[in-house]
Amino acid sequence: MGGTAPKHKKKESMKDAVSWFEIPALNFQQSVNFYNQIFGIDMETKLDDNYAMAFFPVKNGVGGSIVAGPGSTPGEAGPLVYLNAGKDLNPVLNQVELAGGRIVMPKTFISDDAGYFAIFIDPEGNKLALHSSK
Amino acid sequence: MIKNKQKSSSHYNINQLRLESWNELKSECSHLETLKRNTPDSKKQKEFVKSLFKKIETVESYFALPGISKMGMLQDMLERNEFTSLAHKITEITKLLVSDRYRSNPDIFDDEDTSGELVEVSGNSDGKTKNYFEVLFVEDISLQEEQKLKSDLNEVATDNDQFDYKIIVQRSFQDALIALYFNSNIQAVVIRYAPPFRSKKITSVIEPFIQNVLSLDMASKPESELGPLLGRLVKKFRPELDTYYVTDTSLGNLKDNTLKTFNRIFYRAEDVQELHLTILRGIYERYQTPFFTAVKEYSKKPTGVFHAMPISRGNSVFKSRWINDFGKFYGRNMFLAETSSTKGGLDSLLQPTGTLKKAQEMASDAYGSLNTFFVTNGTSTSNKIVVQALVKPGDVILIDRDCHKSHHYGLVLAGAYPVYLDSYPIEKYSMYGAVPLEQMKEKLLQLKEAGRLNLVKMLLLTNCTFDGLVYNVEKVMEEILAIKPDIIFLWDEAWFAFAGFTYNYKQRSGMFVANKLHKKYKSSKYRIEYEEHIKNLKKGEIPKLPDPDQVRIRVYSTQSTHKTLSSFRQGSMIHVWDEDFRKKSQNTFMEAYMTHSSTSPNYQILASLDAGRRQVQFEGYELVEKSIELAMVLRAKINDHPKLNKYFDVLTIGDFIPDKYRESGLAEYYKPNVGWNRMETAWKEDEFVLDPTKITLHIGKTGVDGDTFKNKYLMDKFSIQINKTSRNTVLFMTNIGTTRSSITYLYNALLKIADELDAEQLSHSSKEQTILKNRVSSLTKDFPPLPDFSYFHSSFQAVPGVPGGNIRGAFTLAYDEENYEYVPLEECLPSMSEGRTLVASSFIIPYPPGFPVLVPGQVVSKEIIHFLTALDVSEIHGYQPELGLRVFKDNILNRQKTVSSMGSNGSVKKKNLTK
Repeated sequence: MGGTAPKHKKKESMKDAVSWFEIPALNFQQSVNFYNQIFGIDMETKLDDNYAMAFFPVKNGVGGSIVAGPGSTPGEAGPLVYLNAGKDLNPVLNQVELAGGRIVMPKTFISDDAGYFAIFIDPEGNKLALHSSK
Repeated sequence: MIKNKQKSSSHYNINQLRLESWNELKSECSHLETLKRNTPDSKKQKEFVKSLFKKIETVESYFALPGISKMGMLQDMLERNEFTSLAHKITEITKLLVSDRYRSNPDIFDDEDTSGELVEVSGNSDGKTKNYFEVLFVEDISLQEEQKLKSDLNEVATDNDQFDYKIIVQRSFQDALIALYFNSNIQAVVIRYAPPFRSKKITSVIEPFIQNVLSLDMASKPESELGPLLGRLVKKFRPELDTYYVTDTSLGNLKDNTLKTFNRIFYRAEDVQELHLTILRGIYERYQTPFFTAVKEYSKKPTGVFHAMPISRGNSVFKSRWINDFGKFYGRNMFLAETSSTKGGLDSLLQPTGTLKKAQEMASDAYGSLNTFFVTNGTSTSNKIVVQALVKPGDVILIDRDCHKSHHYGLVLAGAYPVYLDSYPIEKYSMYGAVPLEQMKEKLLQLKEAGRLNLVKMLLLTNCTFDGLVYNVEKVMEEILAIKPDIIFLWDEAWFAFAGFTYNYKQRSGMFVANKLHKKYKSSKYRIEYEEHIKNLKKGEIPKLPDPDQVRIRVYSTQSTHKTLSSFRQGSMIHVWDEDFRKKSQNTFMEAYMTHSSTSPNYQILASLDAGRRQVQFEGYELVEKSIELAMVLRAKINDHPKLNKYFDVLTIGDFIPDKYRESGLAEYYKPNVGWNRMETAWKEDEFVLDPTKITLHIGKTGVDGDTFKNKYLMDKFSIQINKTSRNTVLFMTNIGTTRSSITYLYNALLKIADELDAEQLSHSSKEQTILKNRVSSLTKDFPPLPDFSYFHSSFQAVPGVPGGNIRGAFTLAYDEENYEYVPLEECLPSMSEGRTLVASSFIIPYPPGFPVLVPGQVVSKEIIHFLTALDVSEIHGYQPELGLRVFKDNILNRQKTVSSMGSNGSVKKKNLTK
């Protein structure tokens, strides 16, 4: 392989690093029930022949969904998505085990600026983080 | 509720009663012979002998030999006061019956000059021994008609026939069943027309032995239906027998299931010769051993070997200067039969199309499965095949924790999440019982509650256990299917291959129950029963019957043929009764079979499985019944002898099974004052029963522990081999190879050991006496607790608080030596009290009892440490005493925890949040 080294671009910043996230599921309804319960939400679902999707209710800002169907395989390895758990993540975290998930890290202080996080594994086996400022 | 109405008898079975009656007749006739004729004493004795004849007459009517006409002749001799020759004849008959030699020459009873010394083996024109059997004819005919039938059949028999048989006629439905129950020589049944239901000859002598027959009441059925019904019952009690039906009903009027029940249907017009040939053909077909025969034929062919296997045909052995003794020891046939060829009549185990396919199909028939597979690496391999075939990574298996280690390794290979079920402990004897049904249901409901029921694939139980505990297979399957209608059952019947060949046992075997429940759930009668059941459920009550629209019967049994039947070591079979096998499992099953099977399977093992199948189809019923009888005899002998019961107790049902699991109330098989308790009701109803052929001897009172007793006493002094002991027990088993003389040998050995212990104690100093007393007290009163399964560490649990853990994840984490460390046993408790969670990184399996007290990923409990500390066995797999317990390091238990990089890109420094 030859070629020349890429030219250095001007350092640019991105508006949001994330545009959308998807949480894979095998047992779709179980997964939807879990997130509905921990966040106290009612996710809108959409089903077609192959896929089932449920959307986190977001007005402005980065949204995401639960997806079940071909190629959508849960797992605890890989990227870690931080879900916004509001001002204080405790009420959400308290629901995790009741809803069938497993807490692997309790609420943990990061820094005054960054706030707190916690890590859980959802009933489908995905590892996710919760984040809050307090 | 415990019922306390036990039925009992003074003999264990009819065979005991029969032989004892003949012996009694023999000695009373000998006595009669010595008395002066026509004296009051002689007359009185003659009357007594007459009463003995009367007693034995009914029993003898169910056997072809010596036969009722011979019995009549003997009674005539008595009437004619020919006491000397009567005594002589009865002595000969008794000798022939006791020694079983009459079966080598069934015509000996017809010979007027009967003499034990003149026994000639009956043979065909080639001089080969003929196998003898009996054919049961069921028809209400006169004695003259019976004689005519016998002579007609005799006329068509020739010297060239491969087999020799005699017939026995029963005149009612009940009598036919009794004959089948008593007489193991019967190999074929001919039902002619419509036999009446009731027997006219049941007496109090035989009543205790025919409970299973008396519990059937078909008197209300029209007589025309009794013939086909009897055919079906014969197939239920003794499915290996050939059944024929002689009728006038035209083909168009015969019901389909009647046609299916019988091997062939005859019309009166057809001649006796046809019947005779059909009977012989049926026996001939069962006698076939396709693969064994192919191996024999192959060994006779001259062949040149130009592929692998120098040992084939003994070429590298017999010509060797250094190992020809090896050849001589095993003999030439062993090497002639060794080959890697799959052609020339032989077959490929991995893709059978010829003799192995046929042999496995015949085994499937014999064992009552839909498919049977031969396995040459023991049931350890069979177990791994079945689990891998049916279970995906992440699926959940309910499994008894004290099952064989091959299952635990199977779980690791399959990536299944085990939910361990705890057997109830029998602490007094340092052993476990079996898993109560309530516990299985509770675990299943917990999983349902947690939304994980859809992941549950299989219930895996050991039936029977090493110690002889047998589940109520039907009840377990029914109530579990009521919660999870598509669950697969794997019954590990490693110790129970023989169970399929006698009725009490059979009804607790996987294949029999699968077949029974499948028929039951398909019936319209069941649908009504189910709907009624659901209607009457109280609010919140869990149904006990499965939904007929959803239930699937999917049952697998793995059997160590070599453990309880005739086969070379490692000979094992997988029996499948899975109505979804073709649709859902066949492909994965074959892949799993290929994964674990050798591509060079041992032909001698396969041939032995084939020959063993022939054996159980002809004499399985007889031999299994005999092995149970011998076990009962041994149980009684040890119990009855004061010298033996000073040191030894044979543990019985009540010792093994708590009252609440024994609805029948049966607590012991034998009681010195009462005799034999009948076991039929218990085996039908109780949650658990004890297999009497597994005889556990409590030896605590000797002051010697189980392991020492096994090695220093039984093995070193008497060469008696056993394989299971606990702290204060040893286990003896009887099987189809057990003989009366081996039972006597064991009994004598125990007597000698008791003598020795007596002598030893007499010579003890007072200090030694105290030591012994303490040892006895420790073995009989101190019981180390038996630990239950604790739980998987949270990082291995699928869902917190819900049973089931990732055993494979834990197992493979220990591949990296950085992930674990050793903690000496004595440091475990202090370390735990300081708050450390110790989690096993390997299986820890003490022998005995031979199942894991710890599995990878399991949290170590205090009880487990106490148990390991108290354990006095030398063999603990997975544990090196000099190093200690191998446990995961803390960072591995915390492996799912991490840091957050959030905010670290600015002035805030990354903070290490893990230990």
